[in-house]
Amino acid sequence: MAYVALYRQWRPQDFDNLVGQDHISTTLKNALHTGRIAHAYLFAGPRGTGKTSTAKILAKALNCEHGPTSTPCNSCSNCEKITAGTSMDVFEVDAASNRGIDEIRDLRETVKFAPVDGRYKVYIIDEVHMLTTEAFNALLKTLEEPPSHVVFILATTEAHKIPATIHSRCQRYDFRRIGVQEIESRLKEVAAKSGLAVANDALRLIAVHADGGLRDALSILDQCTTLDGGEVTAANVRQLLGLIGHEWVWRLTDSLAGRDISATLLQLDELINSGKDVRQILLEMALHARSLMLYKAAPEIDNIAMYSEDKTVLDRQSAPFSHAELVKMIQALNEAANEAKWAPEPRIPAEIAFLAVCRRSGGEADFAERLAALEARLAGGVPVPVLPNRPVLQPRPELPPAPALVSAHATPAVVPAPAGENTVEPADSAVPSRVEPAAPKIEPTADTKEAWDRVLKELIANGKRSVHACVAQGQLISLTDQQATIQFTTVFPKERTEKDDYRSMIETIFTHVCGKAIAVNCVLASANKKPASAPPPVKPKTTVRVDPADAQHPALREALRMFDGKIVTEENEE
Amino acid sequence: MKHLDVLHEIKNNDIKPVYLLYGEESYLTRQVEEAIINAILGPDERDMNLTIFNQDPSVQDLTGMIETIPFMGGKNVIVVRGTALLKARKGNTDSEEQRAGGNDDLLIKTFSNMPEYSHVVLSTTEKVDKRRKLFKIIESGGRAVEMLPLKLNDVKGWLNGKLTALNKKMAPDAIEHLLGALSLMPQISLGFLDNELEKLALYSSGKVITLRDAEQVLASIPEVSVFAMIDALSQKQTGKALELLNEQLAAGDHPLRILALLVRQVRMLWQAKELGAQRLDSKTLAALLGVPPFIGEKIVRQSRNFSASALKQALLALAVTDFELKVGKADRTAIEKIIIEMCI
Repeated sequence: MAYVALYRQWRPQDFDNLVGQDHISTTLKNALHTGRIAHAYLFAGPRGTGKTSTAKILAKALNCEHGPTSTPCNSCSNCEKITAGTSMDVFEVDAASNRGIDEIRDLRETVKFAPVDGRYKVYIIDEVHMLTTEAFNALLKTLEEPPSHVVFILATTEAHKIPATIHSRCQRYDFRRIGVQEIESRLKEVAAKSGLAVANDALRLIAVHADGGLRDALSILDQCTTLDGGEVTAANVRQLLGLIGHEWVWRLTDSLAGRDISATLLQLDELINSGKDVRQILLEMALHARSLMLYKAAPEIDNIAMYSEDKTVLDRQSAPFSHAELVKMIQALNEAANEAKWAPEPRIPAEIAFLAVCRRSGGEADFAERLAALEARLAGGVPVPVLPNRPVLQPRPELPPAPALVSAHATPAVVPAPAGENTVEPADSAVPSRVEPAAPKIEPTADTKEAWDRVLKELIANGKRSVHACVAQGQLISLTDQQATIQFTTVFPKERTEKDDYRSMIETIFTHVCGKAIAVNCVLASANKKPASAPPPVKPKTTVRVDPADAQHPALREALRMFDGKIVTEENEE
Repeated sequence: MKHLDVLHEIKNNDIKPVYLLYGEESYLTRQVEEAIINAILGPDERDMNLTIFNQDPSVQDLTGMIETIPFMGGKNVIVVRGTALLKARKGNTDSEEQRAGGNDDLLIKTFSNMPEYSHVVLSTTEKVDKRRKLFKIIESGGRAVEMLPLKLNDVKGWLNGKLTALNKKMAPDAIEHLLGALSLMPQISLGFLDNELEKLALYSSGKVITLRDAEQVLASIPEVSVFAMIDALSQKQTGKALELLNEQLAAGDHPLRILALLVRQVRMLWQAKELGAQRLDSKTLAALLGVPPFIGEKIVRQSRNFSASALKQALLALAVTDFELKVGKADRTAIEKIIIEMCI
């Protein structure tokens, strides 16, 4: 005998085997007991939830030789004929292919004849929403007052397409998606009875992906068992369902969660190179983000179609995001997906969207807020989280003046910390961790200013415009007998000025202006070089404890850049 | 004349020769029609003496049938459904006017002088022209009854009658649930309600229909689901609310339809919140909102779980989503987002 698909072999044959639709089987059973059979039923619900099966069971229950009963025997000739589809009294009409008025008229003609074997003529009209308007109207009259021996069962996946006039004449039953648990236990039963070896986690995976439809679940199981002879494992199922494809979504989400811009872009590039459609990538990411949002809001949800049902993944990945971030992410991704339709180069909107997600909460409002908080901390000089055994925000004693010729190296600024306190490493690392307030700018004395102006003028007078353009970006902050210190805010002009040709040119001019040989020393403003002649004001030295997890936070990075800070790894005391 | 009065009359065996049943609620029409037929004819007489037309027969046929003496000495019942005899006339051509006028005259003559052994029931869901002479004749000699859709306030009475007939009782919270859902419907279809109650009665095991029964069995049409969803929302059951929403969308309902219902409900909650702040009692409040008192109470109760600003936010977000759905900028996720944010 030809192979019969599992879902056909295991179609429920009585109400007790109907899975997950207790509210319907109870009602119908009671109706059969009390004899209150409606003349028209409307079964609505998603695919694979048991509409047609219920209709057939009901037909059998009505026509069973021992009936009407809520437990059709399935062995009498009537039951067998109905199961085999050869009964003269049960008409299964596929409305999708018999949707015209003529077919319905033919059907109406047969309605008036009494049943042949059983008590009732049962008309099962499947996919009834496909009927044309005219056909519906033709059906209407019959549906309104069918002879007492006729029962109509209309089944549909799209109840909203049924005209209200039909709707109000039927008793409507809503079939629900079947819960994962119920599908799983049914699958287990089927597997055991058909002698299939299937791992439990494989069953669970199938149940999760059946989307509430038992037929889908059985079909997947059927396919899995044909893969190879051995036990069906979760890996088999994953392969069959194409779930391996989900991994990249998770990886990409991880990168986004970690704000790892380069990894994100590389992964995107890899995906595009491997031939994935950009829009598809964006849409799938949006779906996943939606799942994360839903999961975050209500972790207990079970019945909603999620992009990936793996709860451990959802749990892990929804943690780094806030609800607002997820919403923004979905919006960004959706917009990008729309744009990608029209963009000449669709990967650009995708990249923009992903970058935006990586830089999330780098938003101005948020950033300003954090900055304000930081400033408040500095101004108040109050350690924010109280840290034991840490040199927190300690105003340092006055620093000794730095040696005159400050080079790239910072001041030996750090006064040895009091014993017992954890010292911050001296020199290099100490400097950045002190946040230098921008305010105390050393105003060049009138004298130096004048000299500087004259130097600059001289440069122009000599036709050295390019030199002027470069040097003018600096500022003369001190002028001693041997040395002029020029401070730059950016690296390039400083370095350029330091090169021999410019330097000698400027030194010559200085010599002209001041009448002495003067060496030019260039410093970078942010590098904390202290000009020899201007001892720095008291510098508050600040250490702020940073959570390692926040180390990559854009706000922090920005703060580090602005104040030239560095993150020092905290060492365990003692 | 109301349908209940007519039913009462018929029960007391005061049966008129001509009935005109018109109006939208065809369920009531059918009920009265059934009552008339049952009062006049026994079950075995139906085959012989009951004639049902699903459209107008020619006037000659109709008068002929009325004047035919019934078989075996019983009575004739002639039912004409979907009649157009009393339709308001538009500017017809003269000849048609004349012919129709002639028909009218014939009918008027017949109706004003009905033989004892014949009864006519005309029914239509369309509007009738009450200025027509034919209408006046029917009204004076028989009954012209308008079948209006039930108002929410009347449903309770109807419900009680139906429950008695089913020999069931309904728990107060179940009734509230059902009526709450009905309050969202633009028009209450009794046919729908009748079927739902039948189903409920069959499902519930005891004599009393509980709220759980109602939640299990009631059809998942948008009105019912949105009402349940708002309920879940006000109790901050995010999961349940999202599930109900998804069920709706999976059943193929358009997000905009759900959105519209949600807007109506959120708006009412906000109004109730603001009015509640003025210490109005729930009765006045319900009147201001234009809902029956028990619904008003429920809305006030629900509104306590939200802050006014949260409701305002939600309403604004719904407005934005409405626009975005229409221009294709947003999808269902946007509604989910609003629900989640309302639950927070």
